[in-house]
Amino acid sequence: MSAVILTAVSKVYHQGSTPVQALNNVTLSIADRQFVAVMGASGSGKSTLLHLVAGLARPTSGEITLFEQTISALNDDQLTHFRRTHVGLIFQSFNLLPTMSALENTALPLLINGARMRDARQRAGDYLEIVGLSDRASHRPDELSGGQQQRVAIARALINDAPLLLADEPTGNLDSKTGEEILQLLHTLVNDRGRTIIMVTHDPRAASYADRIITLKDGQVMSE
Amino acid sequence: MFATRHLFRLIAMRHVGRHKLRTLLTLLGLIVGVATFIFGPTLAASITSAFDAASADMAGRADLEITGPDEGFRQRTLAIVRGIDGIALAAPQAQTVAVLSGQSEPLVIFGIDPSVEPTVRSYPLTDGRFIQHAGQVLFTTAYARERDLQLGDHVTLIAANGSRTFEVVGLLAASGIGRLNNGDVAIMRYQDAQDLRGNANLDAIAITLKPDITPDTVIDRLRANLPDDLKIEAMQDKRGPLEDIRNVLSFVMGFSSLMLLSVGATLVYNTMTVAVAQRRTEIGVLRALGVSRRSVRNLFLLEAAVLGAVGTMLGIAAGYALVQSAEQALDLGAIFNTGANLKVDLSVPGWLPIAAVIAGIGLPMIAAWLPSRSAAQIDPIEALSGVHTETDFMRMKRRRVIAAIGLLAVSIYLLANKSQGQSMPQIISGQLLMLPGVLLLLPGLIVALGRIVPALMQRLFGITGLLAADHLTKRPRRMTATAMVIVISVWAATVVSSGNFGYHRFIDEWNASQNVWDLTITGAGPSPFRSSVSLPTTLIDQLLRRRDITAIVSERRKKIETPRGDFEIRAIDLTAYQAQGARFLWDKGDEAAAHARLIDTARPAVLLSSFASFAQDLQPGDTITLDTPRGPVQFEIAGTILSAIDPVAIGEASLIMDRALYRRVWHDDHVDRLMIKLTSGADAQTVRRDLQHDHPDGGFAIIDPAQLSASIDAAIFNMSITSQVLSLLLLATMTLGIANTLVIEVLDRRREMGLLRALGLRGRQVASSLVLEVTLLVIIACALGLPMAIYTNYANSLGIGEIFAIRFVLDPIEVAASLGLILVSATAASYFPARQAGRVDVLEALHCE
Repeated sequence: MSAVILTAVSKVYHQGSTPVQALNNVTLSIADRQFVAVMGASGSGKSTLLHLVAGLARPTSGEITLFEQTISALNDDQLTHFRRTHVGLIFQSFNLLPTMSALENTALPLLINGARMRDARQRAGDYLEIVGLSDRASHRPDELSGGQQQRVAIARALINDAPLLLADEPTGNLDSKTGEEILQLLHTLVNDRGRTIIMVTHDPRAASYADRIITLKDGQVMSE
Repeated sequence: MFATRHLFRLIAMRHVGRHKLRTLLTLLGLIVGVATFIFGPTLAASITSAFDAASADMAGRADLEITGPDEGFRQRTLAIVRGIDGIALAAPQAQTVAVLSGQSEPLVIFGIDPSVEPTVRSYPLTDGRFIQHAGQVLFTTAYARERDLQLGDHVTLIAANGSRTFEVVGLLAASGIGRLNNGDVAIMRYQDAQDLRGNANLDAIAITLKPDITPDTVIDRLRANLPDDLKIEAMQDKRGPLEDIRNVLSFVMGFSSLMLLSVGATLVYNTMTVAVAQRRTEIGVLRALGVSRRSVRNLFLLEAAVLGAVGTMLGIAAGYALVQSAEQALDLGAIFNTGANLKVDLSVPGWLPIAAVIAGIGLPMIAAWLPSRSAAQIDPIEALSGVHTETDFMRMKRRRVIAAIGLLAVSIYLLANKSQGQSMPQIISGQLLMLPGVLLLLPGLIVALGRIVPALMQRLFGITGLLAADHLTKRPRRMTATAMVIVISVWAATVVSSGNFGYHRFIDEWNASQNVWDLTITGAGPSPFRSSVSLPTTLIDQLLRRRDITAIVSERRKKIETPRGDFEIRAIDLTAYQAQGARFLWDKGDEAAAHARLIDTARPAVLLSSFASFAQDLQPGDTITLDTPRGPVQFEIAGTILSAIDPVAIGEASLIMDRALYRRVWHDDHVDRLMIKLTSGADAQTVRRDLQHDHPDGGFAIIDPAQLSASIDAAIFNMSITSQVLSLLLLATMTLGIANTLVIEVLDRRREMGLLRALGLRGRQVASSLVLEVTLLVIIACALGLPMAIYTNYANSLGIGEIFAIRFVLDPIEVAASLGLILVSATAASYFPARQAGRVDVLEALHCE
């Protein structure tokens, strides 16, 4: 089954009055339980691709289907709800909430879904254990290293059992050793937990962990 | 909802706790607003409640009341009334004013029929017994204690018809009739009161009705049998003289407190706007994680509601404390003196805290609406990438400018259009439209100044000036709310100072024109300008025999009711008055022609006070008909004068006439006031001592010019203190607002400040740019607020100036002082935030998101 299908997707941004073609008629599909790296130079459209798949932006034209749901037809509330249950996001700059502990940051998606605090904390503890941070559960982001923060972000992305994980330069702010640990973890998630991962990166070494590499240039797929 | 609650607890409340200073400043603004919301209406409600209570005490169980002209009505009216079918009881009443021998404070004498009176009104006694015979009197317990009077004592009371001695037979409790005149009341048989007064008339008859008969039926029967000059009213329909004061006071207090609360709400707007800006990334994360727009919006609204709730609770407590302090520190009965000397107990109405809660939470939520909506609209991609499309830039929006010009045009039209005559609603509407008009112009004005001010500031202050002006004019959105507060503060401070200055200038003018006498002798009363008893004739005879007196000018005061309203006649020996150099503060009409007209007793004429002219719409050339013992007499209005001899006598309407005319028409030789000129070298204190020695019973006061001036000063001080307190509160709120905004600015611009420091700017220069930005803001606000104040003064001089007999004049020194105070406050408010800005750690600032 294809987890993600893009059909003739284009995205045009406007900078002032100047249109910028970020993606140009992209068609591709990503199978379930696949680890895909999207590579390209700065401005190639790779982050735009990720944003469209995440439902954070809408395509100017074309269609996007996630797990047989055409998300480009959903309204904002429907899209938000879909994202909550089907997509986990991992960012380059971690984007943990500074006022919350590692445990609370991890539990956040469950709380957004309406879970009780006790249940959410319990489950968050389990996921922190998966990423190897159960001993740092009560620490705030400013008390964690970069690698630890990224692990918390990964736990947060996993906790809702979202089948699709989208990672935007997850190792961009980490040293090479830590970065490799993170990539290893992501690889495990695909193999052991059956997730589908799309990772945007400009680092060939990071891309080597993926099962498939899609290269973009000027908003178009050059190779895959 | 569940999710929002979690998010609120985990995110919003923790941010509030992290930014304690910012939160505290916002709360302080709300506390001040809510405290004033409690205090203002409490004051208004308590004043009117005191009067209503006094009126109810007077009414007792009576269903109807008959009253007549000031001098009373014939006693045989009582017999006629008692013969009317449907009347159960008719209780006569004769009132006068006297002073206790050796005292100067007036006593209200309440003369009654002891055989029927207790059935109509309550007279709770704490000691002794009720009056039964002539020569007996009741005092209140408090009055007796203060003057060391005991049961069985014999006291001398001095009134218009001389002095009489009475036996104290009982003491009244401080309730019922004992509440009148702040407890300074004496109860006696009405025949004794008539004797004190010097005539056999009655002042009122209180009537209770038989069961199953309506008041209207009895009123009709009474009207058919009694003279037309008697007023017959049902007690429930009686209106008090404080009706207008109640309305004005309620409006002023309510408006002021709402204004302050709105200012507090703008602090919430400030806080929420910057919170949204600071938490952009966080909002992006929440949206990316699946929080809906509505939830994001509700999160910030909830934060504002909680801030409002906490501020309201503390504000209510502060309001109650303010009420307590005011009750102890201010003599409210004297401040709102209308001659009745009300005992005012400040009591917060039950509905007020509820209204405060609704306003204190509602207004911040309204203020937070736009920032909350803005938060919900944030693009998560932009927020997460850290790229911030600059939405803070403001443009001169054409619609806003058109709306502003429209409002100002209507305002000017309303205030300048004299063809319909200025009415209070017209004047108030004109002023109310002006404020939003100016505030709408403000953001656009700041943006427009961006074309010239940065370059100018750079020339004057170098890089710090450029940074200050550039930030203010290019991104004024956050400063706009603060700028509005400063504009309102400048406007209010200037108007209040001009009002206070107008009063003081009035005193100066009054001193120069009317306070020209070496001594003034007045019957004892609550103030040198309000006597309660006439002067004894023996005094006048004695004065005439003295060789150190060159001139004596007499004045008689008399209250009179007309269909147009109540007036006070001031009958003065006008020729002698002017011959001694005294003159009135002229308002309208030909002054010389008017004076000639006044002394022509064959053609009755009067001068009218400016208040009466405004309230009754009477102008020079009009006529007014007065009821006299000779029947109705028409008097021409020869001119109008500014009359505020007792500035606290709001609502008093004066008619000045020559005393010779008055004596001819009213056959009244009583004198209430003597104005005396001494010979050159004569000693005023010697004259005073001689008179006091010869009249040990007293009953009058001898006052020199300094004492008269001091008396007005004290009265005006009581009036101006309320406006000054409100101004100070506004200034405090303004200062809080500036400090709040700057604290947030420093937090928000840490990265920018770190960058400037990294580029080579010194810490002191960063701090100076912040102070300069505030100073520039204050200057812009003054440029708007000052013309607004001038215009408001113009409006006030058309309406209120005539009522309160003051000229709303802007004194440059007072205005400069007020503006200087605002500038100093603003600079002081910016001190700590600026110091913080100058000490920003460069690396930390550049590292922070």
